[in-house]
Amino acid sequence: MRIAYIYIIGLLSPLTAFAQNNGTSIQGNVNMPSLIQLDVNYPENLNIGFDNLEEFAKGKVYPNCINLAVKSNCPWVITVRSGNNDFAATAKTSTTVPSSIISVKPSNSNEYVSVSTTPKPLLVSDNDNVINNYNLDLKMGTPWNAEGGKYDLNFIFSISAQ
Amino acid sequence: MKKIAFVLLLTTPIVGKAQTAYTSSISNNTPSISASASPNKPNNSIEVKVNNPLFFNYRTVDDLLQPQVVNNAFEIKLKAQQSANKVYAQVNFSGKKHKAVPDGWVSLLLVNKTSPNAMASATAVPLSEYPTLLLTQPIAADNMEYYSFYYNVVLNPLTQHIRPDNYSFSITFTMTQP
Repeated sequence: MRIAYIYIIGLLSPLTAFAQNNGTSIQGNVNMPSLIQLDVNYPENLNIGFDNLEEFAKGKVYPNCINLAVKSNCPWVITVRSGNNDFAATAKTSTTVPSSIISVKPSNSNEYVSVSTTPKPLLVSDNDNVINNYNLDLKMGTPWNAEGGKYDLNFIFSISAQ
Repeated sequence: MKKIAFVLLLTTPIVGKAQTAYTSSISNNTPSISASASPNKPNNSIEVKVNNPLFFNYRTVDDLLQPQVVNNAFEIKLKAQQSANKVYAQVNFSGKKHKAVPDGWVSLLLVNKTSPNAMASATAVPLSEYPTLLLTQPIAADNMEYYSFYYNVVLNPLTQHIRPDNYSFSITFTMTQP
């Protein structure tokens, strides 16, 4: 019986060697603030205008004329507004052209957003990608009472975290 | 024969525990283990020394799109005098929104080693919350004090949103015999 007992202990020794499995750990830290960037790309000297009376009467659409490139680590919203209530005439005119004749929309959307000095939501993040690109369509309505001439207007796009 | 069966029953729980434990598995109840840890006898062990703090600070959007690296972040000191060893690593995040952290964000890149025969990936090894094989070290000579493995810690570029937060993480290393 003593022989049998020693034999069992002998079997155990190699098995218990597994208990030498060992471990350790190290710690780290990541500081991740909200990071958002919006780049607005458009053709140099973006000129829009009417070439004939028919265009003037119906208005005119410029598809995909503005590109918005978004980089963000969190959900975001983009708003659009104009710098002024009215276009600034480059020559003396007696009439004003309101900024609201301009409206924009994402190319894959059907709803235009008219531009005024009040920021209006234009785009909301619809996925979790860090990088997104959107093309905008621009529509110019008819400035019925405007004199002929050249007019300038600033569009302001803003992005913020949701 | 009855006595033999009794001894077997007693020892089974001890063996089972030793096979499954990863950390702190050296039990005080098993004298044979503490004897194997004696400096005069071959033994296996793992030690990790931090050389540069694992602190990542994102400042710009472009940081999201580039690998963030702590060079020569730590050194694994491995003794494999008793048997071959496999070393696994896993990462666990904590923070209010740590569940948003993508798998594979943290990678370990071997940049140098003193072992002539260890098998380790030459490319960065992405970690998850589950153990991932980092290296395999064949049994070494008794007189070999330890082998060193030097690693960079890399945060890979992000393609998906990650909630703004201050994340803490822990990289756990475990050593097992094949």
